[in-house]
Amino acid sequence: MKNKISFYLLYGMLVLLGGLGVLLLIFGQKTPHPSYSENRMLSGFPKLSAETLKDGSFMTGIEDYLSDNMIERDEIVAKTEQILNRFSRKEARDPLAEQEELFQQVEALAGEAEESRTAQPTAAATPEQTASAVPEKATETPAAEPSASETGTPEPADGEKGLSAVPECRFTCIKQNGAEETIYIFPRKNIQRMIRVLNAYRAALPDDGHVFFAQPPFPGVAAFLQNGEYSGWDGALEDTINAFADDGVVAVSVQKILEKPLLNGEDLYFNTDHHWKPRAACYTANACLSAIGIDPKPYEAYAYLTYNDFYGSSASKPGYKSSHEPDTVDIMIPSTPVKGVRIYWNGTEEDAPMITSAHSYMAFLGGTLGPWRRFETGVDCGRHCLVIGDSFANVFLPYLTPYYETVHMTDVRQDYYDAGSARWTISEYIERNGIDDVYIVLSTASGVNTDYLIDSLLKYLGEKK
Amino acid sequence: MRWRNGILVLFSLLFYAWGEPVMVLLLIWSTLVNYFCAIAIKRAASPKKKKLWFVVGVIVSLAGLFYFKYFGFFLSTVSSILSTPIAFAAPRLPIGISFYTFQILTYTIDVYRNKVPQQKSFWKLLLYVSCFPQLIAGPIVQYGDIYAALDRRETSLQDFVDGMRRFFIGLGKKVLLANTCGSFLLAVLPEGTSPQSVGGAWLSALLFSLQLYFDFSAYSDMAIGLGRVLGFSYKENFRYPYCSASPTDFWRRWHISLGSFFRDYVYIPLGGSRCSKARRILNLLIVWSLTGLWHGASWNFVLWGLYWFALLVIDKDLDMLWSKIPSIVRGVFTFLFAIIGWVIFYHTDISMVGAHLAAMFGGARRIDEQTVAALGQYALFLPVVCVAAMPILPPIKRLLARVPRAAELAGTIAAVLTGFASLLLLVQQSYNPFIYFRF
Repeated sequence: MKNKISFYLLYGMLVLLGGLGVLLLIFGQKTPHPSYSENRMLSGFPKLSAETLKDGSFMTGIEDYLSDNMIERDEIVAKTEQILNRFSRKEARDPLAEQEELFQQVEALAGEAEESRTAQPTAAATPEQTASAVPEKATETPAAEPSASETGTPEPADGEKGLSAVPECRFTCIKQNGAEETIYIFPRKNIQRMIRVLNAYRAALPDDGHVFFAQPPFPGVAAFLQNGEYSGWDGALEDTINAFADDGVVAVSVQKILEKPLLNGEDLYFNTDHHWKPRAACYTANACLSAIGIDPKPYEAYAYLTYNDFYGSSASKPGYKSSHEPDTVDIMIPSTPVKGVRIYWNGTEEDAPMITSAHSYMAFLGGTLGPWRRFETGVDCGRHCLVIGDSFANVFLPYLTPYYETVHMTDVRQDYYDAGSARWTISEYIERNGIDDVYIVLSTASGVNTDYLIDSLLKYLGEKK
Repeated sequence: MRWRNGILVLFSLLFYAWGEPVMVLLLIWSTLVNYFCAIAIKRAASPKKKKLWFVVGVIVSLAGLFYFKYFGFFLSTVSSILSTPIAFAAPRLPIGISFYTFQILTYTIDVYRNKVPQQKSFWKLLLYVSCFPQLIAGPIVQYGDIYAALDRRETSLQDFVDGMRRFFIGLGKKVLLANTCGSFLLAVLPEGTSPQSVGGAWLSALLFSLQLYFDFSAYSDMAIGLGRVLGFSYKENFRYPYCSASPTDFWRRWHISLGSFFRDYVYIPLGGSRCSKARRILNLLIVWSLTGLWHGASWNFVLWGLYWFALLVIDKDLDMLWSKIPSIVRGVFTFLFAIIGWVIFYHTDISMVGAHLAAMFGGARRIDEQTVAALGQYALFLPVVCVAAMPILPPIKRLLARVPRAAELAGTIAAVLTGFASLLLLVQQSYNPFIYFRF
């Protein structure tokens, strides 16, 4: 032994790690709790039973618990991010300033169409007020709605002033005893940005076009409503967007759509995947369609291919040890033959699947494929729509096919889209393909709280190459 | 020693049961069958009976592996040949089954060959199979290399220090390098997509090559380190494979324990190189088809095995010509061959392999924005990880050998700091599987 200090250092390290693990097991927070910096639920102590030991979920639960309950976790995550960023060539930037510049560019492009839109309410809307405003707006035809000058509402000098009254919104779970637990906080600045993005998309559409916005929650959050401890969800994000956005922008609250079915024990989320199931997507698509006067087919009216051995995205990762039985899933078979194509940067097209034989999340549209996809539905209705979403939209899109002649799709997340490979800006694409409606479907993980996605939605809408 | 072995077996089984609460029984069953087969081999009166028990042991060991790993693949192949759907819900692959099955096989085969004594204690045999450092991702330890340590092994403080240092270095390789390579790779080539440009195709292939190397060699480092702490001396599994001078040299440096297994238990029994050229090529074909299949029940792995078979045959046959090329050029070519091989290995969908290779050798564009953005994000990481794959530690060690005490302390402090940095990143990253767990 050349140097005993080496021994003491390494031995001390081991004792420290072991001690830390024991302390966390004893003193860590035992119930799931939200991480505001990561916008997700941190794991609580797993349930110990013969069943959880047998299926391994107790062991994986302990690992998640130890990782999620580390002392000063938020600080560690933030500092680690900082250190990792030092390895990046990215320059320090001011996202808000960039955002402002982009808005100005897009607003300039939107021009007259933007200005002719209806004025915004100016008073701060309470959740109750905004909630009551939504159904009226969604069901009224634009012609029947009084103009801003008729109602006496002062017209804002510019969009910024109109949106200054947007409140911060929360997504909360209500416990059986009435106490509320905040899951997500949506800062007002982000809601303002998203409203301006939605308005910009609305401005790029024909007069009778609509922009739908839906933000599905993650399965972990949905599970709360099925464990008996919680009685419901609450949140006013969509109501707020509806109250402040232009006419033709319709934010549907997936929270409200799914709350009751989840409480009734409906099977709306996968166990082996982080996505929603087709039934949940169908409910959401139907809510969008109902909002514009279409009487959509119920979920049961479609034909389905059923797999009982469905393993989702989580299960497809190398080394994944499933603590769940495989899922049962229904893959919707379109009622008319649908031809899908993927469109590449150079304009070439290749066949893209609507359904695949994969017994995983790839079953839906064959996964996410950039930059553009077009599905010709064979429905002769003269209307066309574009779905912009993350992977949650893959299950959602099929339920639009009976109501549009073509359904187009893109995903502006950085892994799937860049201006070079997209060839056209989104507004150019909308114009070229005669898009009437746009559906923006982003999970809570990539929706209002994701700065870069809001940036991307705006940048790719109007950027000219 | 009895207590030490007992505690080690107990914790090894608990360790495996932590990940495989039910399948731990399969491991015990497989060991038990081979334990009794070895006894029967030793007691058999005639060579015929010896052979019978030997075959029973081998078949029972391989049957588990075949059922869990290959039966679904086999049925789907039959189904597509016959154009008849065959319903079969493939079971989940028990962690490390390919590794521990091969370890058990080395015991039964070596007992049959009279190369090692039959193990009288079932618990010692179970310890050999289940010893937790190398249980789930190797190195594949041959019974002949370890049986003496099951009866008698000594450890010193120096073993503890050296072993723990090696462990923390392995941990750092996994968490700091392999995982970051994986994130970088996903930024360049999101899951289920094919590259959009020549640059993206080559960069993603390079990143997967590095990720795989750091991931697997990290596990080997951790296993070797922990083995040393416990008194076991495991052989090296990697020797800077990306600095190889030829394809043959590459396989002397990459996953050495698997190469040794196939050499000792398949290639040489088939006749090895001491036979006609046609027979040698056939032997190589068998070995590399099996090597490919060992990595996974999918055609891309078979294709990958055949790719290396072709390279090794050409390497042997063109040895005279090849040796005239400057070593640095040979090294570059070998590295490129390895990268191309990993492309086949990476995509389980053969059409994606074709798309990736097509993009590498004549993609639509030289570079795409996604690749540029990813390069920007990981700008400084790429040179760091490339240098880390080179043999930089041996010369540093030689230099520091002049000041041994300071060198040891510096090494320990570096290992502890690496351990802390890994811990911080582990808190941030909630999912860290080793790629080779799936084999």
